[in-house]
Amino acid sequence: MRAATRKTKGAGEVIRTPEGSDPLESLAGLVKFETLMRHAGQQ
Amino acid sequence: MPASSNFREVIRDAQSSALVGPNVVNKALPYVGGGMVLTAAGTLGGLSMIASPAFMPLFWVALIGNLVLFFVAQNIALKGNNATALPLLAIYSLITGFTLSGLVAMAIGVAGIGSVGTAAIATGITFVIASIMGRRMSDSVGQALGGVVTLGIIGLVIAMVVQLIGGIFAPQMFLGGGFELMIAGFGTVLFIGAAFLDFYTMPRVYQDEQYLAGALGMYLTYINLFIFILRFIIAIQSRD
Repeated sequence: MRAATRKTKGAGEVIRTPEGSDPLESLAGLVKFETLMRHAGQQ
Repeated sequence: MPASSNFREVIRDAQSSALVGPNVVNKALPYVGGGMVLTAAGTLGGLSMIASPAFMPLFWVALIGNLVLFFVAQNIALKGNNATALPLLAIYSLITGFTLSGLVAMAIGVAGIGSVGTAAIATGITFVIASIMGRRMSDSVGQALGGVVTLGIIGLVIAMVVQLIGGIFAPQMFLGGGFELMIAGFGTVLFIGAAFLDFYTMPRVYQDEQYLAGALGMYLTYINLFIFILRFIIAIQSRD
């Protein structure tokens, strides 16, 4: 999962910025971590 | 020919030229599937040793190691260094499966083995529908959904922090019942939205050679969806 990050420069010219770690993906990773951590040992 | 047809053609051209990685989804999908197979193997491995006293220490090492591995693999995959990223992602998938075994065992205990099958089938059906509809999404719908999912996941993280802290002081109020059901339901809807969004955003933000970074993002979405469906089933069964 990654939000489309982009900057527009002039009419019709779109510059995409795929480099760098994605905060949304990192949050999804933390959500997974939190769920698994909290359910550890409850089984 | 009416003027509006020219306009549509210009819009169509602009949309197709906006793709930075037109083949990235097709390149990433086999690796997402491979990751799922390794995850299932890791889960079975974890379930087979869950009664062993070595399980819990190993679980914590795996969970923390997995979090670190995620950021390392993501960073390497984004640079397009696929030869290094691939074995890291394979290990990440296997360890994720192992760390999932606690939640899966809990779901089996609370709601039966059928709950795991239901969550897996529901995740698979979402994937099939998302792969068809997500690719056809218009820019306006895709960007609007992107905004909703971004805000939603920030809201989910805040709710989970509230649950974590609230659970220390009032465990009955925050860790079970209505609050858990609300978080699990919200997370499920959110990651269904994210599943559709992946097929729209991937060709627009990842170049073709960054297919492993795309695969990692998509894999994470479906694992989270599976986890939240399981949490939802557990929360419903616990209320009965």
